[in-house]
Amino acid sequence: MFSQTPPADPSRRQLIKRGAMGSLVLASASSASFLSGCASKIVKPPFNTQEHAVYQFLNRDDVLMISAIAPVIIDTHWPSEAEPAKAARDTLLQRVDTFITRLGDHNMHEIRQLFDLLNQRITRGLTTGLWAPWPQQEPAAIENFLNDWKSSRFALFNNAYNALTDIIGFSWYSAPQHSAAFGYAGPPAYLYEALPQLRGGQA
Amino acid sequence: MNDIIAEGLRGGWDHVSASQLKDGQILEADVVVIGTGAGGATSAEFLSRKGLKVLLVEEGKFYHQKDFKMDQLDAVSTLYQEGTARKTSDGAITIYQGRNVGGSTTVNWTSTFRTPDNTLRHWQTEHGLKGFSPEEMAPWFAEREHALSMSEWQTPPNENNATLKRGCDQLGWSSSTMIRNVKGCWNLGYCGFGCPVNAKQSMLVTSIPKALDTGASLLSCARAERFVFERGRVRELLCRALDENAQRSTTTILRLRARHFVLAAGAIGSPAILLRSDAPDPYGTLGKRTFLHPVNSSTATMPEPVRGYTGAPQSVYSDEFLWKQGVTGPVGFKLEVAPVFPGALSAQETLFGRALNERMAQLEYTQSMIALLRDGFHDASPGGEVKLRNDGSPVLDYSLNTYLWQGIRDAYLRMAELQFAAGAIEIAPVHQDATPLRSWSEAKKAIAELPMKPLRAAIFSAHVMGGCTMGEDARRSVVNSQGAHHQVENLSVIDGSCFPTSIGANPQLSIFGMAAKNASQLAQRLQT
Repeated sequence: MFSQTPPADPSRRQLIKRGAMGSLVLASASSASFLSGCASKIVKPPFNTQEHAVYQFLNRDDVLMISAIAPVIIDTHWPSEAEPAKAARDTLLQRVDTFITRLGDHNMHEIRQLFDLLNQRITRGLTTGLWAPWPQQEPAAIENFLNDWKSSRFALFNNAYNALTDIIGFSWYSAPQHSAAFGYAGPPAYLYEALPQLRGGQA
Repeated sequence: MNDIIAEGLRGGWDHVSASQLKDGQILEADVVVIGTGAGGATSAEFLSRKGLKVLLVEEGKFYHQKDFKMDQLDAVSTLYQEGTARKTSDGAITIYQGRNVGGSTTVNWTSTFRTPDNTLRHWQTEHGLKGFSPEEMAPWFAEREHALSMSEWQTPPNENNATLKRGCDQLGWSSSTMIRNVKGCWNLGYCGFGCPVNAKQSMLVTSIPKALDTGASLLSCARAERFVFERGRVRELLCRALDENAQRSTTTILRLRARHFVLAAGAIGSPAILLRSDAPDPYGTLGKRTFLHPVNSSTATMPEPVRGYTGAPQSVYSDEFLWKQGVTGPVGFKLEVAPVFPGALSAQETLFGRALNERMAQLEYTQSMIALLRDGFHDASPGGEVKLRNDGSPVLDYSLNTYLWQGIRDAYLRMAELQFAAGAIEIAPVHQDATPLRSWSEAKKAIAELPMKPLRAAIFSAHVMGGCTMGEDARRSVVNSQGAHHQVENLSVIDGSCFPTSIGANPQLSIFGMAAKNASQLAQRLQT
């Protein structure tokens, strides 16, 4: 531990530089449909992944973005083995997709703009400092950007941070298999016999 | 166990989903009631009872027992407005409202209070309401308490609620047992997901079946878009059909005609429909004075399991700080607990990475206190304003100002004090800048320094009130004390949007009682 030199607080300085510029980008993206002419028209959902999953909302770029960000948000509760991690990712993507499509037209529109902003190199770079494509990003860099957005003095970043952590955190932990280890494994087992609407389900 | 909704539908209730109807179709009734929550369903029951032909209109879907599977993601995303993503315009306050047949009563936690006497008297003296004295309202509350099986909860509280009681006892603060509207409750804890055993006496299993049994019709998956006015009257209501899941809009427009229209779309929906209709608003009162009971919360880690996801969600409360500084003084608050489900816990905390992992790992031991601020009783608490976005959808502007922040900080302090008195190992104010705190003295210092700012403090609301306020003075209100619109002859508003301030308690019985009274009076007027 003595060999580690503390970072020279690069995130702080980058944040200050990026703050004003980034918030302008985010503001124009969310109010004036800055991106609507380019990004969202590139890939139109529904989109088929190689695994033949069909999404109603998520496009190919969203899938890459969420696949990079979700393991950072879920951190140690994300499976470490490759196969379970892939299965968990696919389930999560399906749940995120379902959740977003039920949030109403206004929220879907806002989330589309946020996702497009995160998917486009220029807007992503200006607002997060991450210029390389999502699959090439290190978890530590993603963590930095999330912390920057969380602690930003610009409400737009705070809201965008809240949206990302809400959607991904809720979609993950609302699955009883992901909270069973902490005490909640879903409705009590006897209800699967007692209640007609649960019969045939899994206890 | 009988699913009375399934039986009723088989037995010939007149229900249709708008997704099945054709564009331009005309539907007629004596009274069209817009909304099927506490206000609309109660109104429909009382109007139908008097022989009036009622058509109930609901934006959400007709879910019932077969759909209530206690699944967090499904319940949250199908039974609530905007799938629980509804927020104030600045994003700082999350708003929970029901969106289904039964409205918020389908998903509320059954907590039942009469409108406090202090509130009723304040409405009389400060807002000129007539017929709302505690004495005049008492029979209406009593009738609804009986009809909806409201009684004091006899089962021991779950540990989440027991902690609230223990803390109050330790500190010498008052606390009481809740009254709940349940019949044969299984004490499961899934009230917020739609009662899986039809024990909750929500509108879904009481007033709506009663209205349908007496000849009312129900149109679900239909969004009331706008009234068409003609010579000071509503000529018709234009509704847009949604798809069979009440998610996507269709191009189908339905025309609803009636002698009288009752607006009961909730305190965001009702003003929004009037705004979209360019309804007369000569004094600019429409959509104003919208209140929220803003809620902040504090989570504690307890030494023994709490399992806040099981058992009646709310069974104990404390009014120790509700009126302490006077009705019109610094903002008072009611102390209650919130159930602790993993999905909601993760969403309320807005944490990520290790911090989120650690929070979630304590799930079983987490106790969750909430404080509901009594807004609207002081000049410094004028409430928010419902506005329309460019697409016609409603959004609420609501500013948390110094007056309210003072109450929020005070509530963080009292909740922490209570949790430590009840034996908490550590507590954390639900706030972006808060860290876990190990003692009351440490908490006192940390909370005093927490920035009281939007998007730093996590604030939510499950009680939206006002926006079409009642009053006898047309310059200060939208409807009169009976809910009749000041400018439009055949239009009444009968829902939570009528209240001139917040209630100071969970509002369901306030809405039931007011709606029973005003709908009865309306039925009399329409019969003569």
